[in-house]
Amino acid sequence: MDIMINIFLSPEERKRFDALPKDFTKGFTVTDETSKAYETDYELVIRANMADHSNFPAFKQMFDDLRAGKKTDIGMIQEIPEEALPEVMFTIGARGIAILMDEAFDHVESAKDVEGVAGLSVLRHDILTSNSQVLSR
Amino acid sequence: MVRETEAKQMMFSAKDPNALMKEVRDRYGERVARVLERVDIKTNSTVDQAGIVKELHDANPTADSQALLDSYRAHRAQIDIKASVTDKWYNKVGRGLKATALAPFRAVGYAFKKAPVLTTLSLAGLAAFLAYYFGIPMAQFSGAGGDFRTGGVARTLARLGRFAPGGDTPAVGELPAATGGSYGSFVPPPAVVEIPNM
Repeated sequence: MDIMINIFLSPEERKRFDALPKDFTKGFTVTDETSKAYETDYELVIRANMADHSNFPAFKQMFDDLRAGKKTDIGMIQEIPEEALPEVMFTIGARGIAILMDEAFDHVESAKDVEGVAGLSVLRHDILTSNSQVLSR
Repeated sequence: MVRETEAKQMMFSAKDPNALMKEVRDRYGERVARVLERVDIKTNSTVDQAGIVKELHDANPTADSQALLDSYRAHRAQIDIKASVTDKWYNKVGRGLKATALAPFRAVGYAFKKAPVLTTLSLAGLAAFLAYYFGIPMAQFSGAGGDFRTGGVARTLARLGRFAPGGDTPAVGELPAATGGSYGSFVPPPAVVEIPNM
């Protein structure tokens, strides 16, 4: 890895990161994720309710089916379009991303996989910071 | 504290401040909109709150003024948070991702392709809270894909609880049962939504 990559980790996540092979974790700058500004259930319901799924027609269709009373298998959607990713990340919030990080750690088999965890951690950090800034002003 | 049905009825779906004000105007009338236009979500003193609640009641006696104010403030705060995050991620011109956001999103995109369970978990998170709001029974979430790979929406909701802020959050205990539930245990927020430990 040529450049240093930031990764923001909670103490629990830091333990998992430190337990990874050194070859995988070389080149990452670890910063403690100290913010606890995770969303409440109510706030996540608001986000879900105000989300714009125009970039993600498959999800919109799935949810319309659910509302129409049809049974739905979430696993049928195999991919989230790249352009829909920011909306999805914001909507599931820092809490949702923390779950993804928890899962992503289980799938680390290379330094590139650690970059995925780092990417999630940056997006979570951005959201946590905004949560904190707006709600504490 | 407002009841579940009232809290849901009071919720908005607007995506920006102007649309939120239009939604208020359409649902509660011009006078209510004018009162809420003056509400600054930064100020939360009980004195201000009491005055605003009274003004809202005078403007529309049929609406639950306190619940309306709480719902408006909570929704407006989420719009502002989204605007703040959007500023970090997107260029002002052209709305493409900023260079600083491009690398994290690319890395996340790669992770999603490599571990499809991340996609399923994200969708379960999205669907769960929408379903929660619309009262869609858990039994409708079925099929081998989602259930096999993630344990379904119910398990995702349970995992969400691990990262819930403490104290006043309904979180895990209030979330729906694994199958067949109807989300009857939705607990609306306290009058002022607080994020602890900041």
